[in-house]
Amino acid sequence: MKNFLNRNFYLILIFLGALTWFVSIPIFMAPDEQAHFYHIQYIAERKSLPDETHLLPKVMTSEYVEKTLEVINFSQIIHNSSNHFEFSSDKYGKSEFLLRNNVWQAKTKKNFTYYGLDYNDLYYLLNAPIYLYFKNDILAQTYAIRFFSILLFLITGYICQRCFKKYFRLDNARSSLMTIILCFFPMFMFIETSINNDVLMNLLFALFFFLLISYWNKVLDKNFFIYLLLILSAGYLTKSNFVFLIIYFPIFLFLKALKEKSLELKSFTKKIWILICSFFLLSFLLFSYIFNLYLGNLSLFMQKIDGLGILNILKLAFIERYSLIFKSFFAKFGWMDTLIYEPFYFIFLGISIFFVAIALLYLYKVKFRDYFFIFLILSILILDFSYALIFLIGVIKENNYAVANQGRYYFTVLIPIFLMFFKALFTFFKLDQKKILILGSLIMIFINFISLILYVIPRFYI
Amino acid sequence: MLSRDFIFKYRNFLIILSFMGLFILPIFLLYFNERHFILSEHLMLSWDNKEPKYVLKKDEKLCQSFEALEDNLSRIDVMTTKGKGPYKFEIYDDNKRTLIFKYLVDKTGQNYDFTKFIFPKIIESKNKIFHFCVQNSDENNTSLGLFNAKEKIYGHNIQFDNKNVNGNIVFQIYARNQDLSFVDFYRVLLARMSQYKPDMLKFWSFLGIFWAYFMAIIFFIISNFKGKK
Repeated sequence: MKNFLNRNFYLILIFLGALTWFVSIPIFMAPDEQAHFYHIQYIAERKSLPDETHLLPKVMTSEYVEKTLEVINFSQIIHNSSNHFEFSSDKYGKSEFLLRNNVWQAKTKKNFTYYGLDYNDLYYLLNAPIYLYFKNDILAQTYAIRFFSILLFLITGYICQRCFKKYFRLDNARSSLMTIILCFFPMFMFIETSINNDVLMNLLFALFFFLLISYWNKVLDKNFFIYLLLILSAGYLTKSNFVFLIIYFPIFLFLKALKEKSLELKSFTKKIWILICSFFLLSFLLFSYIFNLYLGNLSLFMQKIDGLGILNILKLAFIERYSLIFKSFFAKFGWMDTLIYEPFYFIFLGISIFFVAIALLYLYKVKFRDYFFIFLILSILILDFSYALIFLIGVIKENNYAVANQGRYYFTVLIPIFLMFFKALFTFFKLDQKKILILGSLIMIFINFISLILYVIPRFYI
Repeated sequence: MLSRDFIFKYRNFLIILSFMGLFILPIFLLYFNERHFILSEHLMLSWDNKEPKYVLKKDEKLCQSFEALEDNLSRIDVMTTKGKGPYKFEIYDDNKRTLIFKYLVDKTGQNYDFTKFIFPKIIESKNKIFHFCVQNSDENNTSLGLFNAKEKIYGHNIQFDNKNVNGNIVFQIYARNQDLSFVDFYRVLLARMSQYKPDMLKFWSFLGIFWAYFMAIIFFIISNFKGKK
């Protein structure tokens, strides 16, 4: 028992850290939480899945949710960090009794429509029993569903630890410390403790990367393809960004073949060319998929692009988009309305630049022969370019800057980012690895802690 | 004075103590930063147009009057466009007879953000009329936009460009309670954090989660530093 606790203490620490976020974020104050809640409610009450006819253009929900949003002053609080709930001096809020003794019908409207073009049903289906168990108590339902998210988060944490352990061939202690650094990433922990199908998707991406790491030095057998199929199926049922997994897989196969020299490519330049061509081919397939999904009228889009000029497009896709993404990747809480102290972002910027620099230096040092490292880079780049494209379509087509512009969409590749970071870091800096990891864990827990205590709590409660 | 030998002998103990202190520090920082709670008087007014109605060029001034509904008036948030500043803020009592407080704001945030003007609390403010003025002193000649509110709950109270204008800009006024002691501050904070939560997450269980987390951090620090040579 003592050994078990010692070995898994990192999970206990992550669990307790996650609980502090879980209790500190008020109901529906995480991004789109109420929309995810509607989806669960729909499935639980109707015992059926919403179909295409229930999508856009208008959000119609249920009296149950709408009245709750009214009672908590939802529309006045989100995006306005000056406002908060109506508190009393008691342990019950001024309007809390309305939520507790609600007389509103817990029924989704007949003309229920739901925004979220790419929201598939698996995450919501898993949560439907929780909704039914805490019948008519929206506070209990919300927090119980969040608790389920935490359980998924813990599984993700456990898989991360296995990834680090396998990839770096480390002992439990070191891989657990790396996991702590990843899981205490403040924005990641905030999203992982909310009601959001990203929580399940992040878990599936973690499983996918674990599978690839496990089979990088092994022959692909029947089990590999069974696991892969299971992950892809679950991904398909969860969110449309599962499509990245389909794109990643052939790249993995190609690089694995290169590593094992089963591809007879003697010249280094040839390998690079084939890699670049495959990258563009797969990107073309992916981008066609994105175009089909989001674009609509291609000729109109092309006309608008013509008018903009290539420099402006690049500026829009990378500089302007990164400026939007950056803060929300590291720390932008609530409904993206709670920022931390400005200089912290410069520290994050410094870390990001350092990360890119050592990753490139590492590649140069190993003469582009660490194929798994190349795979990790490609997995991030493909994701990034795809979001750049979706963002461009949104801006050029509808002048909408709110599409694909959030840092949390990159959490699916958080494992590759951290694998690359640690790999490059410990190649160049032969410092005592464990000491650095302990210090790194403490710094990350501290950043997480002050984000919560000094920024999130005052934003919602003071 | 601590000798080098003492530090060397007890270095692990000192490291553990420093980290524990580091984690306790934010709890005190939060208290010293806040010490009181904002009591909202009026929440956000909704604006009638995405574009600002009042655009203040350099040295132009806009004044708005309002009636405070509570004592201890201490903050006014004005919705503005993004700007580099500085902007001069002044608050007067009725009929602009006495200047109560003035200061310069360096810059404003993004478009549609509320710029906060915080001033020493006015203890007896309830049911009294006040005026606040925002003046653009931007040296780069950048204009500052203020938004027109849909509602007219404060009456016909804008003075802009030497004219009285019918309506309100978008702003919110806040009162705050007295500065609290450390214990009272955290008691009120815990009470607030317990609200709008299921019963099992109120007060003690809430406190329990934070306590357990804190213990886990301490255990993590001790287990990683104790007995290392």
